[in-house]
Amino acid sequence: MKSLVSAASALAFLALGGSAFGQTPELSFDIEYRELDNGLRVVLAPDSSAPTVGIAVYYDVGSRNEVEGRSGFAHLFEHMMFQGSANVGKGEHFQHINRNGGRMNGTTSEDRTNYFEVLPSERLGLGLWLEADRMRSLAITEENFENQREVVKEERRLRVDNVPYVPGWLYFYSFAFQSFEYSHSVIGSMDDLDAAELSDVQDFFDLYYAPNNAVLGLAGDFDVNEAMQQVEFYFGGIERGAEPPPVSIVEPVQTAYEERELEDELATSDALIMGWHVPPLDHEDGAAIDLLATIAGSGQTSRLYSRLVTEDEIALEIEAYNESRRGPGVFTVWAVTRDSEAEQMRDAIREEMLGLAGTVTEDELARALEQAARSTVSRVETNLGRAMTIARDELYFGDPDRINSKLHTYASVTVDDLNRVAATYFTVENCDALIIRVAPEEGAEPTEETNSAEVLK
Amino acid sequence: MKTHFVALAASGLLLAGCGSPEVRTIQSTPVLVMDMPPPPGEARPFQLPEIQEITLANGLQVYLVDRDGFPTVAARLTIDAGIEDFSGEEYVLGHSVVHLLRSGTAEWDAESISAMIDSNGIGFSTNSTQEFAQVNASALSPKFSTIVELLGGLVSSPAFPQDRVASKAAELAGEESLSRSRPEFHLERMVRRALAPAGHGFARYSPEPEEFSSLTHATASAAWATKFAPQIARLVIVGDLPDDALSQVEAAFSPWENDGFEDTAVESFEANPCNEAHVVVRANSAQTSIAWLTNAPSRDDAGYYDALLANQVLGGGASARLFMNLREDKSYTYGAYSRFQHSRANNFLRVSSNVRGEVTEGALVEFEYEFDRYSADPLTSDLEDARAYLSGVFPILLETNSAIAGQITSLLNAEQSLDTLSTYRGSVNGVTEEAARAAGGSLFDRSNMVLVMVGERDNVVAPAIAHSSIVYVYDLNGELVETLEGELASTCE
Repeated sequence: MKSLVSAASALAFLALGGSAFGQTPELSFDIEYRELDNGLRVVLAPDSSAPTVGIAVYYDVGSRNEVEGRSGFAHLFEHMMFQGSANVGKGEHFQHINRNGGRMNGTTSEDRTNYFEVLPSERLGLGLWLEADRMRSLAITEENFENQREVVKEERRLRVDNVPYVPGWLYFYSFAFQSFEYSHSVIGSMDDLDAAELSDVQDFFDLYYAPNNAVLGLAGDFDVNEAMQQVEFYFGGIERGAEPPPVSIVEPVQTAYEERELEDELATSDALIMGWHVPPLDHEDGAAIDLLATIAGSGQTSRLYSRLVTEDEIALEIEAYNESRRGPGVFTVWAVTRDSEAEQMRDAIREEMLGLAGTVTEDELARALEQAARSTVSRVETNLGRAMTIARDELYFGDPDRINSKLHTYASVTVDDLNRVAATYFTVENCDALIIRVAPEEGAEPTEETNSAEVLK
Repeated sequence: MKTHFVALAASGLLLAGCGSPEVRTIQSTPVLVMDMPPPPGEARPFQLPEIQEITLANGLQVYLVDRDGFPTVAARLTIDAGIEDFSGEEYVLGHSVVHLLRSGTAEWDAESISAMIDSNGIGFSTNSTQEFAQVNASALSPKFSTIVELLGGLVSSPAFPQDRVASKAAELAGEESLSRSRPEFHLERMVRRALAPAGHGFARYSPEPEEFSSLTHATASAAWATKFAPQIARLVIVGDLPDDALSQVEAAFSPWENDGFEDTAVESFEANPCNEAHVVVRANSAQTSIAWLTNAPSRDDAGYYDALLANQVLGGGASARLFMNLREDKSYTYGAYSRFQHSRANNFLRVSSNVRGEVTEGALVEFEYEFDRYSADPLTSDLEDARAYLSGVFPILLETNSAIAGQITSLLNAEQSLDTLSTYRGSVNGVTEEAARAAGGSLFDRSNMVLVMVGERDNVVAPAIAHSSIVYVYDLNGELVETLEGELASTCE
């Protein structure tokens, strides 16, 4: 249920009480929800403890909305949103924010695109004006489009093509997921980026960048009524758009383990990615899977670190993540060899992950809860972090108050839950694996292994 | 149930100006229009944190900041024992000893330490920089006592047990090998070599993987005893602190004694950059990594703020000239920036970018254009923007307990007064155009810059020849493999 609190600015706080956490932190932010006539959802978390304001606009479009042949377009479009609008010239968005003592950026994921600013609180209006102007009237020109196409290709070279192991991750997702929506990368392929056309930009804007497909999150030092008056003034006149087509991502139930190999010409050690298919973010097992990621692979007391790094000394580094998404997700384990074979690591990781079922202890749960509490609280310590969290929670779950119950959700997980969830998902057949091998130097005789591996160029 | 926001008519809105429905006054705020950014509202007061300073009997300087509000706590312990304090066979110790603290103490074994960290949800890290060894911890504020006990215990009685040290040494060696797969490693290693005189500790960027085998209980213990002392350390804790915070700190850190401490002076040097180039050939590179280097003023130099503003105009952010030119105009890169790097040994300016190989030459031309333009064109609006950014962003840099701890630590590390927190904005706003122009004119003098690049041979060697007087070519092992004559007249002395 939406919380409609009085406009008085109330400090966010944590209360401390007793439960499985030892001392259970309880988040209690005052969060208000409004909706404009054009469908723009506005979530506000006033807090006067710092004279700043975080502004986050989340659009319900990500790489999962892309069509085949246009991978990377949602992210390319995100770049276009900084190229100017009716009243903001090219490059002026950066200048307006910086010359007013602010910071800004935008990001694209599989499931959404966001734009955000943090400003001194008296500059709230500037951030709203900038965001509204580009939602209303993006300036789309061939010159800007070509410029940003090349910039995005540079971003791909910087973050993917010139870095060891990252291409391996993109390859892993390409076969771990069967659906086009999640099997292709957010950054996209060079061919698809080259194929994108100017007309695609206007079409994408018309389809996805309407107020009824967005959430505006505000957090920080402002009066709710005054802020809403400005929101209404700047955003209220933007026309509602057509409803974008719904996205439904279904992954087939995996019935057999799949393992592949890849050569990486920039890698200096062999490495391994293993992934187990897990349900969407809003699934009732989500909190338990998060906690299992900590128990398995976060910190030096985690099972994987203890076994592979400390005891067996076969991994240089190892981590586990619950990469949950709005659709089906994947629980991944990443490890780099240490004077060892990737197959040794694979077998040990599998043994540890399958061994979770039925063996998780109360101590492990308590430890994971403590870490979950700190990381959850840290994410909302800044006004921008809070604005992003409540906007995201409204977009994904229709529940901007979700942050206030998140720690309780974790605290309600039992050891029995963890053992059941581990048995459900961490099985042999539900797993995919990629071994990334150091590519042999030019002129070297191919080995049996390198003959069977795909070569990454 | 979702509530639709009701129209603004009852909220004191007035239509104004030429019948336009898009011009309004909101209560006490000025007129809003659609085609211009709104004027700022009334600035909220920014409260600087109150800092309690104490020096313990063992010489440890303690800085406590008690902030109500968000119930977190951030602690940063900094020891003036950096990589540059170690040389020769001991060099690897400067990189590593602080990372060995988790291997055990007189009271706790490694497992107990890890359990203390993970079971309390503590974020923990160790770091070795050119100047400092750092131990950082953060947690929810009820964990204050645990954090203080943990940090105090680690530095008061480190045991460096041989089996753990050997294991960690092998791990560090592996990480060192792994880091060589990244282009930034090769760039950074060459940056050091290009700036520092041969034989100076600054010239080395990192140990060779095989050097880590010299890490033992004996070498780590000896290094700790002679270099890591409370009298050269600072502890900053910021957050929602208990009333007895200071007494807990005293109890935890007072046992830290170091009778064998030998103070070492780091020899500073003035680099002598000129128009030479150092290039590392890295096959299969998707980009060329570029860095221009020159001397910069130290943080306590009278002209520091003039230079800070000049740097901000050139490449301090996403609205600075380099970014606007190389990215937003030419599409050569994802980003182009400039920044200062300070240490006790040296202060330098780094101007850098990563560009696709085939535009390396074009990117160098644009860098040089911006260096020259700084002196040729007026700064007026860019300088205003730079002042406004550096001044205005200040409250954002002090928003969280962790950020405040970081800022205080940075000031102390730079041997700057904590009053800088109060005077910083005035110093920034006091820089005149004349001073900023003079500072930049000196800083961005191409003849006093050395060029470093990492990339495919075909992409880096020819541009280096065109933009320097002499080109040193290295392989991925850092070995000089070729020296080529450049096309420019030498500015090297």
